[in-house]
Amino acid sequence: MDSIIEIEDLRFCYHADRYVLDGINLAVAPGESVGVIGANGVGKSTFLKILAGLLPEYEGSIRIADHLLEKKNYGEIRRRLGYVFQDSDSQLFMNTVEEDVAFGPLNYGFSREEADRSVKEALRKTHMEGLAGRHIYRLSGGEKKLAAIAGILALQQDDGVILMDEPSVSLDPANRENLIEVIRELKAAKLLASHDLDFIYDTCERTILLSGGEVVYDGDTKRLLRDKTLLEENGLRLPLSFRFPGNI
Amino acid sequence: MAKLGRAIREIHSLENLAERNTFFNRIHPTAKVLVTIWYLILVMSFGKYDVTGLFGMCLYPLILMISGDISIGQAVRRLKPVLLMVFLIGAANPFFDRTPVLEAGGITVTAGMLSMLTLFCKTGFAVFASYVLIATTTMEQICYALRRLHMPQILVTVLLLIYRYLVLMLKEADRITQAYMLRAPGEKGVKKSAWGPLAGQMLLRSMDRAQRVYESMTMRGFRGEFFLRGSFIPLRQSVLYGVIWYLVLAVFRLVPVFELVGRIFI
Ligand SMILES: Nc1ncnc2c1ncn2[C@@H]1O[C@H](COP(=O)(O)OP(=O)(O)O)[C@@H](O)[C@H]1O
Ligand SMILES: [Mg+2]
Repeated sequence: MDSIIEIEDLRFCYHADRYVLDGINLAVAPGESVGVIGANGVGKSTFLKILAGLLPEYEGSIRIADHLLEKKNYGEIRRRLGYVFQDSDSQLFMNTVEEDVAFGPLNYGFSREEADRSVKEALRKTHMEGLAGRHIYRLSGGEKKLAAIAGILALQQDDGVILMDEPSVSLDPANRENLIEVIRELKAAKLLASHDLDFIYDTCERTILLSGGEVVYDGDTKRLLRDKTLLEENGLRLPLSFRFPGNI
Repeated sequence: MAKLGRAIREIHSLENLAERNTFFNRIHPTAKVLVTIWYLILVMSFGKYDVTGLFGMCLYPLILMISGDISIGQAVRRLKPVLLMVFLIGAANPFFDRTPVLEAGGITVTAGMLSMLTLFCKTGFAVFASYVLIATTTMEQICYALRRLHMPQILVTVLLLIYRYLVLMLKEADRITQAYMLRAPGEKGVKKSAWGPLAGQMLLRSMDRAQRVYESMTMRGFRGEFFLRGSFIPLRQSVLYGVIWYLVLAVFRLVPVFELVGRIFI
């Protein structure tokens, strides 16, 4: 099989009266980076949470790494799929960066040496080697985001999936640059939900646009981000890099 | 409020203490938890008027605090509210039980005074011994030890979650009162009329965050098991540590050491 995520006719509602997601189809190839954009409240976070198995009452079918997304497969799927919460403060719960990153591997029964090795590797991939022993509460917002990503990387090989909800929110330019670099180096398949279109432009070749519970665009990021009318119809603005024609 | 901020910092600095690399931090947590439990049992087993015997038990937390470089003054400051409560509970005893037991330098010592003193010592010692444990052992290590001692998984998990939840709640409370203060300058404390919504908000928000923390734990494979990380002294030394304290404490329980020492001099 060739897709790592396969979604067919996904529908979801919090309350019976309104479907937040209403018939989503999507296939993501291994290693692919896909942006998920749309106006506030369109259901981007909901979409990612469903894929992470946090909202189990969905309709339709979702397959991740050849496993149907249902309770009995969670153990297997979560080994390969990580979810970076919008609020990294709640995601990190151990005392130090190193302990937090090691949490997953230890729970999945890695030996001490294996766990140490994967922690080191994950910290290297996220440019966090220097902060291994640092206390979580002493980290900046950007560092917390990276620590959260490291916690996921420590569990998976390059054939994994990473879901990120608004990863660029409240990062200063330097942290943001660093995060973009880290994300581009990751070999895992990625779904990035954001309304920060410049960020999406820098990290994803392919983007889907959600509107009214459906995918209204699925394709090349650059083409979508140039489409002023389509974006504005969906409460979005042209990214800064596209506002001035001289730029591109 | 500054108080909440301070409480959060206190928890963090306790965690810092627990993560130092001293000898006591590196003893296997199971040994430390066992010794603490043993100590608590022995302290509680002293009779209502057995003050002299009980005095000897103060050595355990004292020795640990001195050799473990844990500031006693700071401990007293941190535990002040607890100690104060104990004081209030025990303070009534002398009024209820006025039977004289001995006369010393013209002062009549009553049974009530003795039982008050015993109560102070018992709870005080217990509180300090627990503090010493917490100051040298992280919460995860304590949970790990409790699991090793066959405490039911559900209880240990709940303990850990309560601890994490408490920290989150403090943080939320801090955030929300800060936001309140910024928009209500010049007010001392939060207006009574705002208590309800504020507390409600805080509860909802911290429940939300607790939910996310739990989700994040399960996402990374948490199934109620705890793992030991960090470098520890060789297991044999930890066992030895446990055995020595087991015996020393037992001797202190059976023999009123202070009384004997006193007799030598008198
Ligand atoms: N826990 C919830 N209960 C009920 N409704 C919710 C809940 N979470 C989100 N919603 C609603 O679902 C819709 C999609 O929300 P969300 O996925 O957070 O959007 P986005 O991330 O795109 O901003 C919104 O209308 C929101 O009000
Ligand atoms: Mg969202």
